[in-house]
Amino acid sequence: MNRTEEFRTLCASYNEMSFPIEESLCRAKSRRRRRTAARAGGCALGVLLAFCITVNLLPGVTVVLAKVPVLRQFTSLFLLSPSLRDAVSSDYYTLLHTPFSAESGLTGTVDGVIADSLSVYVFFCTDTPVRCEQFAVTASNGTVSHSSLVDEDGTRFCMEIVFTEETDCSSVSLSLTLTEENGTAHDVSFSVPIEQQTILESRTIPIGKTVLIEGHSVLIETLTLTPTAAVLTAQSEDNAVTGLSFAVTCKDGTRFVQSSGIRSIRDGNTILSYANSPYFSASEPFELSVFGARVQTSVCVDLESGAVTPPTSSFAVESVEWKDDCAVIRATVPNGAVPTSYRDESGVLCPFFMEESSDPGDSAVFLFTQPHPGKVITFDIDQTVSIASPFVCSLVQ
Amino acid sequence: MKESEYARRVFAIRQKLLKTAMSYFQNETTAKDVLDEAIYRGLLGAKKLRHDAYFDTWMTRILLNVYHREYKRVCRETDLPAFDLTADNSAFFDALPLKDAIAHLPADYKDIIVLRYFAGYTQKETADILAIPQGTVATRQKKALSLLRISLSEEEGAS
Repeated sequence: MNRTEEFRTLCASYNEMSFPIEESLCRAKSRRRRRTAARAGGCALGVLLAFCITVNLLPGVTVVLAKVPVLRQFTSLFLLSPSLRDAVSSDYYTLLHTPFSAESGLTGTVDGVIADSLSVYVFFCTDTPVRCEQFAVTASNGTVSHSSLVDEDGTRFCMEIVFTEETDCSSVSLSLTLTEENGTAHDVSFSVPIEQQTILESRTIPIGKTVLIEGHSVLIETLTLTPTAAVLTAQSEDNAVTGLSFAVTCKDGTRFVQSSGIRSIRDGNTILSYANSPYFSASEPFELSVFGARVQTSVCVDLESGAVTPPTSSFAVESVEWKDDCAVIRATVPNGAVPTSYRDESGVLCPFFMEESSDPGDSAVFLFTQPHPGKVITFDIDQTVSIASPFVCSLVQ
Repeated sequence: MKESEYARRVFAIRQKLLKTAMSYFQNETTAKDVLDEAIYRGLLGAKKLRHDAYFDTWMTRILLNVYHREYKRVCRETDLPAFDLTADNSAFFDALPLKDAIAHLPADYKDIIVLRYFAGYTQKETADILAIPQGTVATRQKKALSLLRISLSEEEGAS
């Protein structure tokens, strides 16, 4: 007999049992009568006893409940996302405790994994403090769109792996180059199985509304609630909008927002923005509000004249100097605007080093680390903007 | 809630309560003793129940509380080992009859299985009884069914 048949047989046997509820109720009433009578007599005695104790003792009752959370070692990594903490509190994780080692001798343990249909978080630790120089991640179905590593204290790490489409990958493989303080490098590789049977279903709510952001039209398609993130999917045909600021509000008023700045991925015309998830909230999601966006603009800087085209408040050149054939550009960049890359006249992406100014205002210095042939460079600048009339949409279907 | 109303309500859900108690205890006598105690506790607290609509889940909560008190007493007396979720328990569970396997589940998971598949509560009602989010019920339900190697549709429990 298999387990399911065994269960049905057991249920059937319980259904045939009987319990004399009337007798139980009679006994309960009798006990209650006796209890009431005993209470009356006990009260007087209790008052006398309490007086004696209070007079003779100073009760300093201290109760210390030391409850060690099961995954205490992950606590600080949950700064990455409070949703991860909620997932662990709801037992949504798989413990692995799988050891790994490098040929060069470094050892460590893969502690566990939290996975849903759009992301995987792998928690691992090393026996020796290291820093990660580089890493590579592959998934069994080959659809990793983004990965990042959070280093807690040099021994505990969390690898975040994000998919742009719901996936049923069965494993992820990590390859890392870890370097100790003494400079010894270790190449480590391990695979992490993903148990599909423990992955909860995500919930996708269609939105289908268009929002105008700084003159750019963005179609907000869906909101997907997974155990680890609320994912807002939008479409925009021009490349200007690269992320959305949004929040999900539940019926009890709890608001789930983005922990630190706009977190998003752009994949072609699709924009995926991430916020904390109400998946494990006791209250139903009620409302979606989109109140800001990250917008990318491109500006051309003429290194001879310092002119910026088109003129913009996001980037104002103060001076252009030359140092060993490398340009040094001092510019005013408002808070929230971040130059992400620059291209030379040929469109080739070039490295630059941005030095923070001591002025907490807006000035920044850009040092270009190699000579470049042209006299015109193009900066791509990401700026966070607020939507004058936030988009609000009910999630109740 | 008046005494007569309490008696009528308990009578209506007696089979559900009995199945819940039997699911926790392998011993019929102990299960009925615990149910007896729960009915007494319910009678004492019936006047405090604000919304009659919650009677079923309230009464089940009382039964669970009595069970947990009884379970802790048994654990202290017999020194039962703590369940280790990190170990591979599949062989251990596979070797047991289903009734024993359920009894050996961790308390959190056992509550879910009993309430969902023996008492017949929905995920939402189970979440209300245990005062945990519905998502947590779903997670633990999946894990428990996988430990027990049972394949059940939502209709087998309440949906």
